[in-house]
Amino acid sequence: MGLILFLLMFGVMFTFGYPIVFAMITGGIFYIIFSHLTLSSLIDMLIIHFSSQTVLIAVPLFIFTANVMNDCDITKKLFDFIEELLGPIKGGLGYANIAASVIFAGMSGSEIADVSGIGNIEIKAMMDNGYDGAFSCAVTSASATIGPIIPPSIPMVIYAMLTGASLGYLFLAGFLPGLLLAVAEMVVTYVLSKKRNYPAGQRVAFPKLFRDFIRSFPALLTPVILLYGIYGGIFTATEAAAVAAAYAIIISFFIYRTLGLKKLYKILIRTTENVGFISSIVAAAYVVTYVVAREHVPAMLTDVFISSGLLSNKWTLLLGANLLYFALGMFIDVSIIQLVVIPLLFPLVVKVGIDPVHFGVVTTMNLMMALDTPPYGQTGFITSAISGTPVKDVFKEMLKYWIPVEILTLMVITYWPSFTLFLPRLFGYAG
Amino acid sequence: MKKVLKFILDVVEIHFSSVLLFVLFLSMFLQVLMRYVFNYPSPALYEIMTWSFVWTVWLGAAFAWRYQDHIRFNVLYEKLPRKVQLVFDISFNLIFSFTLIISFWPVLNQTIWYRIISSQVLGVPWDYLLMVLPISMVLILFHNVVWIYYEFDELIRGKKHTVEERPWV
Repeated sequence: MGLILFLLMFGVMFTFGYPIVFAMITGGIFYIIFSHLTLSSLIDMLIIHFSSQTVLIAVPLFIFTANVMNDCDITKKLFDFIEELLGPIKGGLGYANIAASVIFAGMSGSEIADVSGIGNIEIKAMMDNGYDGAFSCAVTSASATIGPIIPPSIPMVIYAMLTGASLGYLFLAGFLPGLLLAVAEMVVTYVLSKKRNYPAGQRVAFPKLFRDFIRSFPALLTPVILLYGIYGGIFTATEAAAVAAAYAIIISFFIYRTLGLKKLYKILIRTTENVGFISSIVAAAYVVTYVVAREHVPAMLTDVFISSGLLSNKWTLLLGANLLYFALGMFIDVSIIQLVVIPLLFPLVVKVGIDPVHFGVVTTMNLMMALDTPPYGQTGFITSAISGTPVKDVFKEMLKYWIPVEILTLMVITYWPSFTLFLPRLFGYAG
Repeated sequence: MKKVLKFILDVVEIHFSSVLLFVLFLSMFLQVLMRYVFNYPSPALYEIMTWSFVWTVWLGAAFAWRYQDHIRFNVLYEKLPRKVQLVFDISFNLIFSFTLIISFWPVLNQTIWYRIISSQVLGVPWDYLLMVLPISMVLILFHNVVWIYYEFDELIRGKKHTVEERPWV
């Protein structure tokens, strides 16, 4: 009875547009009442268990870092330099867009921060230089996918919290897939630029290029500092979020002089609201996790799939997981897919012998693709709003990246675990 | 009255939670410095970090609800006529408000019960630390009631209210 009421309340409220965090809590409260449990346990689920996951503290700080970088023009300086460097090539702004996203990926952990921050600058620059709106949006959305795959990464932080996988190794495992994705996107950009005769920008004189390199150098250094810090043993992957934020504040305040106390306070307020609607869902997911664990749902699913022979080996399970993520990603927000699906799927993943770090990268890649997938792909809507291009044109153009680039990269990541796990193993991962 | 209400909401939901976010950032950054530079990791900073995180999240959740910015699945919702949307909004807000009301006392009692435990390093009683949940419940309930009022007003009188129009914004 309790489980049915939980599913009914959560399902109806979720389907008809009520905030997901409140739908989860309402469903949970109905479950608690009708299962004759005590409502005071909400404190344990929503606060005590939640606060014990220190890895989650990285989430607000990565959001804060991305907001500082976007609001203080660090991302603009970064893109300006890359634009001067790659712009003179035919279709160069497309490559610049991808390269800037790769570097920004090393500072921020969110695809949405990438697409709405640096993406805004990229789309404007491309359209000002004669690229059509749909292409500018498509390449921006596709390149933003790289953001959470190359470390740091908010979805990987949440995955580590849900599964207990090592965050450090997850971050390492994201490197090669992220770079592969970037190269594949550049190949498609090259083909489209040739075919459509996209313009080449003016060559910039070396002294100016050098001056701009020096100007953007502090920003370019951010990923290096973070990665050296994490893998040099100076700070943990979670603490990297605070170091990134501190570095962004220091360079904005003292070097670029684009940050004052008033602006910092405004950024803090905006970040607090972002944290309120992102991290509270993670906290509320403890209620869902409690319900499914108490009702033995993961164990039941594992038994059903294993005993039926369906998804009983790792390759079919990986295929099934990819298809499930794809189907859900068309309609449901990625944070929900992650928080609801992973606790259900993970026992099965462990049982058939899939490496947790490998599955983490596969999951992250799928979640990022979901942000590009129509009809609900958020990046399509954001870039469409930035550029004023009809959203259907954006999605149509995005298919040119989606099919040859993202699906192929996903296949490589999924079915070639040695490639995904190459760097973690090099650094001592035993999986 | 409205001014006082707005002031209280601003202080608790916006200013206090933003200061806590800064405290969270500062304590984590100081922790890195203390450990790496001074070789002296501070458990006190760890406690400050954990609790400022929890407080920021739950006050931030109320703050986000004030502006209806929470994440939702709106593919089907946006296809519905406005009147049907309002009926769903009012029904869900009523159900959610009901669950908040019935769980408030058990949650508050449990929070007060935790007074017997204090945090290990700073010795702060846990009820102070956990109090954010009852506070956040009250704030969210307050926003819910206001939303219900405006949604009814729109459903019955056809008077549409935007977020900007509301008195405390």
